[in-house]
Amino acid sequence: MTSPIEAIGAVSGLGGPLPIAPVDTTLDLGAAKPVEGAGGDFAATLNNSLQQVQDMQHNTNDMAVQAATGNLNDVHDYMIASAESGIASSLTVAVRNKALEAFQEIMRMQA
Amino acid sequence: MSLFDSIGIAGTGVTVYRKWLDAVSDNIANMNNAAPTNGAAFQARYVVAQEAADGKGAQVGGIELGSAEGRMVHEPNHPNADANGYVRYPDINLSDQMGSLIMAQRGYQANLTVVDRAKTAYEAALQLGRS
Repeated sequence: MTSPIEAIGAVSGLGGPLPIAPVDTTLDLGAAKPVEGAGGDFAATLNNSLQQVQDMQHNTNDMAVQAATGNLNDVHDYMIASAESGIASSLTVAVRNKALEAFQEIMRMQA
Repeated sequence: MSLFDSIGIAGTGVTVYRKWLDAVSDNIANMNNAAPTNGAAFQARYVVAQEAADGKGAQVGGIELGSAEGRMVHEPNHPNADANGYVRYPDINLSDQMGSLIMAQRGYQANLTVVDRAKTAYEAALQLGRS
């Protein structure tokens, strides 16, 4: 798959073992080579990311229940989980907006 | 933790410092426990911080205990005093504990600041390509 949408596959690079990993992916993109990302096609990447986001939100919900029932050991754990799932949601929305934008751009080509 | 590593890593740091705060508060709370001389004094708690097993952040490897001998204090009127009038106090120095308390609090705040900054940075990254 060599479409420009492939660039969104770089999202999976964020899950690398070190924070430096996404930078490498970007460098690969700069060299104008097709990215050999995990999963390969965009649909699988999107599916994986959505799964991760859902897991995070599930985790946050669990912690909210723990906080309400008094079983939460660390206050910051809940706040951090909540911040993480918040950003993950924003990322999902950003990716979705970009994909939609690309789709509409293609639809506009018929004129 | 997988997608936003720096937040998760800073989170492990916050946990370590929280445990250090707990240890210090335990030490200060038990600082003036007078034990009978035939028993052990309260042993100071020392948190052993180390690199996390998965290489991401820090973790508490365990708790080391201070001296059980403590220091002998002559207090003949104390109900726990032995025949010679001595009791056993924990070997804890309040000044040291206050110093540790300050370091633990600052470390806790520093890690929380990392969480906050990382969040801001990720949010800024999401602004890429907007408008």
